[in-house]
Amino acid sequence: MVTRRTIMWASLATVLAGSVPGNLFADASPMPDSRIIPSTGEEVPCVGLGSWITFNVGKDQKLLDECADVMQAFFDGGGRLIDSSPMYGSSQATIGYGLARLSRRDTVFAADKVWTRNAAGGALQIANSGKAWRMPDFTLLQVHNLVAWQAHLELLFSLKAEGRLKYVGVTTSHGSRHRELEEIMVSQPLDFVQLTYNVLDREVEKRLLPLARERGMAVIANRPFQRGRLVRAMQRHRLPDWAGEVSADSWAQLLLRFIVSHPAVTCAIPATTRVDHVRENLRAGSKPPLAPEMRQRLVDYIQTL
Amino acid sequence: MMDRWLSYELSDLLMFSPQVYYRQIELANQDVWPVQLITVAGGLLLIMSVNFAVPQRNRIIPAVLAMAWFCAGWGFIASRYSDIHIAGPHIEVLFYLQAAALAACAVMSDGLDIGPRSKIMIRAVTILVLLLLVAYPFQALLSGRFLTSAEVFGVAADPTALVTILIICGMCRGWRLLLAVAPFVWLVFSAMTLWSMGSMEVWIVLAGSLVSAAFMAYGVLLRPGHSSRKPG
Ligand SMILES: NC(=O)c1ccc[n+]([C@@H]2O[C@H](COP(=O)([O-])OP(=O)(O)OC[C@H]3O[C@@H](n4cnc5c(N)ncnc54)[C@H](OP(=O)(O)O)[C@@H]3O)[C@@H](O)[C@H]2O)c1
Repeated sequence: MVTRRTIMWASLATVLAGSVPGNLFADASPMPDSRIIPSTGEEVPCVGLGSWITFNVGKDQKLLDECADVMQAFFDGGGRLIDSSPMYGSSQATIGYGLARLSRRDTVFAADKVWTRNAAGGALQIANSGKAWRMPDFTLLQVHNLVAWQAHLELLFSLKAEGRLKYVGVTTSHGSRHRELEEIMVSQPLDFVQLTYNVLDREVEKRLLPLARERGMAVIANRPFQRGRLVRAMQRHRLPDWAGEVSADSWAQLLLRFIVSHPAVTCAIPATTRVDHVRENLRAGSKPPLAPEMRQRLVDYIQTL
Repeated sequence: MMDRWLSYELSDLLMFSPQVYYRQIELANQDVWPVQLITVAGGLLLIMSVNFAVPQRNRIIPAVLAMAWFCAGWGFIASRYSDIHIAGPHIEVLFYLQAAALAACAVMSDGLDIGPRSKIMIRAVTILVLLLLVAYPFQALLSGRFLTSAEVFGVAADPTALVTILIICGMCRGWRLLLAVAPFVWLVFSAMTLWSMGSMEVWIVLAGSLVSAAFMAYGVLLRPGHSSRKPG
């Protein structure tokens, strides 16, 4: 039963939690918001986990365990989508190790890629990726950087038709090949597109993000921190005065919220080697979206720096 | 196509963090210990062979270098580096091919065919190779790492390639200079990696490569003290 005293304590706790900075209540963080995947209506948390560089640790047991700890914090904090590729060295195997150690194969939204110029080599590569992840099937497979995309999309759509794959997508990064991506988005029934989007790389706002909405495609934003450069550069400056108004207490949170507040974006996939960072990133996803004028203020502020 | 590559920075092509890279060297050191003692002893034999008319030195030098390339290819590139770099298997082949080429040279009757060299060249090669053998491993400490991740000739790729390229460019002529191609390829690749990681070692790799190029130019253009086809 909810009594007046419970309400009073609850309100006090909320006020206190709002007024203490940073990580004190890290473990009790709220879960990240979810976004709807247009092609199925399934929900996915708006903050995922990248694995380029950060999870490429070879067979080193110590570093493998550190990555598994990051994955544990990610899942415990409500994260689901992990992104990898056969291009990322041992990252797939690291994810496979973590999933097995944590018994989280049921939780993960497994997003991987096909990346081979050999049009006929896609199936074998997917099978090898599956072995590395220690998973029979993926949730999402994407053609990495549009490499041999015609042949690979054909394969992915056939896997989807057989019920062995839920979602099909393509990826680009660094703002490259946007025109070609646009043509593919127009001509192919994709579930997902992955592209680079962050407060500095905003070219996709012009055509690709509106097109994704129009075509009912989910969008994964890669390089949210420009591989760390952006967040490190911002951390040399103070947060904007109005950061408190939107209850942002770090640059990483502001930068991520900028991305996931765009109505076309389904999920951002920051990569990290650190448990505290993965928690902070998930926390960013749990806060209310930034209003369009706040997003513009952030862009304007960063341009003055 | 070109503009696609221009949109990337060198650091965007880096696949791993410095921490992971040096950890692979540390693990390789653990895996092969005490092979390091043998490879460094082999390195000292190289210095003796460069300096003195050691019998069969034309064959000893390529034999020792072949062993070093094989050990580095197997102990570091194949066992550790290939795990973190997708080009690893190709680099492995490069190391084994270089080991095979050096071994083939070692079984040829005139081996490396080292002719008389100027004293300056011999001293320069000796000092640089000695530094690479005994001082370079301590570079780990200067970079704030433990000695367990020391880069040792015959296990780590950079000192192996540097020692080889210095000896080949400093002491050889003619087609045998082709034995400098594989070390050069690795050193260019390594310099890009080290540069992207912000590692101080990049300057050593670049300096070593430049000095080797200077040695080669000195030998090929000026040919001081060179009387060809004399057994060494
Ligand atoms: N074509 C493609 O398909 C493509 C291309 C590029 C990227 N991607 C995907 O997108 C993912 C993300 O992009 P990215 O890896 O280039 O880099 P990113 O996520 O933009 O940045 C990663 C860096 O940010 C730092 N970081 C993470 N959270 C932080 C926090 N809360 N505070 C401060 N620093 C933080 C990390 O350092 P710490 O380890 O210290 O936290 C790491 O060095 C990739 O991993 C990959 O899965 C796909």
